[in-house]
Amino acid sequence: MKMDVRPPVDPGSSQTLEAEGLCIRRDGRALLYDLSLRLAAGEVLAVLGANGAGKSTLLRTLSAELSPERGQVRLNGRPLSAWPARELAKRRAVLPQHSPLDFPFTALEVVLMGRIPFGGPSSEDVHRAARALGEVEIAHLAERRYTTLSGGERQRVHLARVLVQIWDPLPEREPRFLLLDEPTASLDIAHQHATLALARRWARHDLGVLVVLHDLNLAAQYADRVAILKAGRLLAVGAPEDALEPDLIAEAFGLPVQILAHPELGCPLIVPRADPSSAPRRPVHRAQTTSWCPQPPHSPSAGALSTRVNRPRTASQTTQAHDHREL
Amino acid sequence: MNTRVLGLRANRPASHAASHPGTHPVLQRRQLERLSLAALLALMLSVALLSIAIGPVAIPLAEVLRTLGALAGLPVAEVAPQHEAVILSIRLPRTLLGLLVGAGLAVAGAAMQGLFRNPLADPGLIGVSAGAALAAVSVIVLGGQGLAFLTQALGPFSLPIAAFAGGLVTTLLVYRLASRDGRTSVTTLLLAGIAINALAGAGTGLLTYLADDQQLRTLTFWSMGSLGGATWPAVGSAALLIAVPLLALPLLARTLNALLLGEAEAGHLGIAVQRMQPLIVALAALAVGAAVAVSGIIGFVGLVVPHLLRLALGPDHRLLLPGAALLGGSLLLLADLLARTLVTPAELPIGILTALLGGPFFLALLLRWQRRTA
Repeated sequence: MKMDVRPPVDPGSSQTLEAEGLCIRRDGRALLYDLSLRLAAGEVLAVLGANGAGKSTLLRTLSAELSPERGQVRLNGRPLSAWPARELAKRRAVLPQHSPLDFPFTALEVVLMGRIPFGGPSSEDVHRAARALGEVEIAHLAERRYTTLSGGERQRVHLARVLVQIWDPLPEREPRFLLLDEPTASLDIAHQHATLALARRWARHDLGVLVVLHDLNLAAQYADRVAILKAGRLLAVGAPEDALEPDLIAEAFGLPVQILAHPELGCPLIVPRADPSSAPRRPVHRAQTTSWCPQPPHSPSAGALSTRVNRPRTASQTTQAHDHREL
Repeated sequence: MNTRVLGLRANRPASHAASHPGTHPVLQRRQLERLSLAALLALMLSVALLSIAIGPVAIPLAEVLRTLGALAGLPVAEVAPQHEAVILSIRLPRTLLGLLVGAGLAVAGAAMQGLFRNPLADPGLIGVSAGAALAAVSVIVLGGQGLAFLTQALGPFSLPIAAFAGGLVTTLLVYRLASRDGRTSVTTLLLAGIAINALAGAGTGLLTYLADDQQLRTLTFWSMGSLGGATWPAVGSAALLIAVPLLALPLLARTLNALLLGEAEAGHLGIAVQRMQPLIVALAALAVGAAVAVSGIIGFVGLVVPHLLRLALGPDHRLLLPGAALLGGSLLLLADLLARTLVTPAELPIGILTALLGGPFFLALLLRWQRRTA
């Protein structure tokens, strides 16, 4: 079902952000090794992998922040190094994981900085920025000082800033690209889904979205394709139904999982396998204690071993408090 | 004041504001901003007039205006020749020097705070002024011997150029020490400032030990800061050197705004970070070096002025940098006015006065910053 609504992906290499044979080393350790990946206009591509697998390095290379030792990144057919910085900024925007911004700009002023590649902010830019804040559902915070916002709100201000950077279609519908580095990191579950739904909405025929994610289920639900990295190499890339295989996930994350079908969407739903050693211990202990030492279930020794040690204690505390009030 | 006005408007939904082009709070604020710059200009001009009029010989404002009018070639009535002499040879150069030094230090402070992404970076605190002073003192003491080739080659500019070089080297050093991967550590920044201040102080002390009596008198003036050395040649060299950063840094305002987001983020916005950062460092060091060369170490101007402006107008460098030039000149002139009238006929070194006022201000800032990041 989900496959049907996907926009057609142009296979031509002049319409993509394409990495070819990337190699990056730091201190003799390979951060990326012979990595090739293609982000097409119109798709949402999720990049997955364990901590240190090279997701952020890949994103920094795709955004021209790092230059690869070997290999090349091409945007719309042209190597990144051949793009003037400003022209590149009109075609792709990058959402950082954290920004060190610590000055009391208003939220709207921060969003307006996304228009820097286009010259001084005009009054149209102000209205674009206000609409971008609406897009991330914080229009009411427009005049609030950035320094007074919560972590999640700040993250959404920056999301609005990168949206406003690639707000308008380019001449001749030249593709634009949005690179998001863990955009859901400081968001609650509702806003995680809102952010991915926004990425989904924005991935139109001339805009491609690459998003680095930790949550496999978010990737399965919203991405057209997922790329799984392990130790700087591409382990698998493809539609979530194909690439999110239990064996691949186990290899990438070292976690045995089971793949179910999402009850409503039909997309893969990844559930960690039950590990007998981390299963709740309580029944085991209870069986042992009753076998050789018949104590009441509220006894401290049984309670200390239980994982839900607090429950009986809080209950008694509340009764005590109650008694006090009555006295 | 205008921030409060805007605060009230913040409750209005943005969709409402967006549906009425031209009434958006941001656009209204632009007008307020233009007004506030005009107000700062008026403040600077009135302080300058006061600074020319007030002193051991009190000169009526009318005569000040008439003398300035005559300078500009306007047909005005005659001025008492004694007053004219005082204005032209003492008060006017001193006033101009005060405006230049104050503007240069404040703009350099604002630019460095943008570069370091921290409102606590002051040219004095992070050691840039001390580095510039050490280089200048070296020229004074060793100018006749070890560095004779330098003084011969550069003539009257040897002092400001040495101070510029000293400031440049210290700024680069502090920047290298405090920045890693596009992030600046405030702790390292301030600690590096302490170390560099101590080292430069040791160097200056050593040179003081080597200096003769005549040089010692000049050195005392360095360590405390004063506009007392205001002569037309000094004004000329300061104007020439400070004008460059004063005009160029406001052109880099958008770059500085983008740098506040982080180095990588500024790069993603199409800013050539690798070229812009050294340029900003050099311009700020030029302003500080030229200021130190003519007036010694005057601290805290670069800290207090941008901070006051951020409170009133927000952190946007497009407004902050011209505002800092205007307010910096005004505040330094006011301080100079106090320095030379409080204990007449003697004169307080202005550096002592700015430290007395700026020190507690810095402590208050530090406490507030600590509470916010804790």
